[in-house]
Amino acid sequence: MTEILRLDVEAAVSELRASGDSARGFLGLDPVTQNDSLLAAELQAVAAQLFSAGEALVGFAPNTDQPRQAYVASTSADPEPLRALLEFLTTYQRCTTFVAVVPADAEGGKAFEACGFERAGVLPQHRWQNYDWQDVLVYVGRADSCRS
Amino acid sequence: MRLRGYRRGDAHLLAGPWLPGELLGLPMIDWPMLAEPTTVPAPTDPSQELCIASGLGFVRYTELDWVHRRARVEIGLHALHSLDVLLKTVVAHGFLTLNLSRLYGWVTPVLDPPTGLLGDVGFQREATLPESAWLDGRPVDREIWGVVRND
Amino acid sequence: MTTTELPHWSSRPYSDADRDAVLALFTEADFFFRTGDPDTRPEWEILELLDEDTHVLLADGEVVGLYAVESEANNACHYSMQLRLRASAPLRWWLAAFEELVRANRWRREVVRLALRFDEFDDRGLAFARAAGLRAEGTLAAVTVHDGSRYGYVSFARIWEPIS
Repeated sequence: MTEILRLDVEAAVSELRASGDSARGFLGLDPVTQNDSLLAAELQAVAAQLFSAGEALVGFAPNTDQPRQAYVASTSADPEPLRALLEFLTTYQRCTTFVAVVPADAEGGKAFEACGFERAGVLPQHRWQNYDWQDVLVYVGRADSCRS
Repeated sequence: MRLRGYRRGDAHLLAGPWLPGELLGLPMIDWPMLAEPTTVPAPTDPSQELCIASGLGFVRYTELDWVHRRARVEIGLHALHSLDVLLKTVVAHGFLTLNLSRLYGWVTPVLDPPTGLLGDVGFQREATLPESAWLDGRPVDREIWGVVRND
Repeated sequence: MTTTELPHWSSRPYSDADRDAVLALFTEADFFFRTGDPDTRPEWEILELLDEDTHVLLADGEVVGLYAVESEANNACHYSMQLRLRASAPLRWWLAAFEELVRANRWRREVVRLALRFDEFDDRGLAFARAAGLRAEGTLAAVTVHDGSRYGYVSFARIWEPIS
């Protein structure tokens, strides 16, 4: 199981920035267009927590309407860091379901499919990036089928 | 129907027996007597657009994003008439006054909201998320409905 | 209202507007809401007992009691409740108000465990807890002095199995 290391807000912001393109759309953020203080404010507004897992960055934000569900994100197509995050959330936060909201061509999207997430829908033209509208995919995973 | 600007005296319209964040916040008749009503904060800065529909309730455009030109819409109703006209006005205000290109919101199927009226003004069901809200001792599913401006 | 009907319940967070009604509740010798000798407490002390979680309970619009619900542990969905109705309220009012409070608390958040605790000398409170079918969990002995004798603190709880 990959080790994940919790990052405080400052470290999270600098990791997001260092991840460049692969972090665009991460928990709804965009380190390419948003500056550090805005990223920090947004992370705190949704009570997000980010973790570094080797080369990848993973993170979650709780669903305040249903604390046993978490929004999750990853910068890497490798499912292992994501699995480690899901294991953490299931064990320590009593999470039973996970939601990922991912731009259509993002790296992180492949990790969700590899982890057994199911496609729950598409939000058309939900983002503007690279001079064009992008669709955003919504994936849902369950704790009992998405860990290792 | 025209929406009008919020005034301090409208504060009582911001609380009611709705599920928080609901796009079509119709009053829930079995709201427990001793449960706090859901309350929406009054608008105090540009991050929210909240308007009043006279005699009906409020409309709130939240999570406003001017890069992606979208907003999540919440409607809190105290009366149940003219919902079709209100929805047309909500979409028009979002697209034509705020110049957004997309509106979306949460719909909770177990509450049996009138989603046909959403369809009439261009909304479509875009995603179904299991166990996304808590209601009366159990988690319930939620859907995202959205409309994209087409011009 | 006939004697067998239950009142319409409502509540609001405690505020100055309710001060006189609430001070009147504490004139009853057994209004044991966060205190063991309510009827001798001065006004400042009573107001200190009322924190931001405290709500006034109204039956048909009249103040009949107080309640407060607090979280006992982060994320664990454990809560504790203090509920007290005035002496003129019959036991079935306590039971009805309690069930309404339980429903209201489970309406928008998960509750796995709800604990209520009463002093051993609190006859009315203990009678309510037993009539409500709460699980008696034990007594912490000799923690308080009342009327010259030592008494313990009795714990009750209702538990809902988590959905997973």
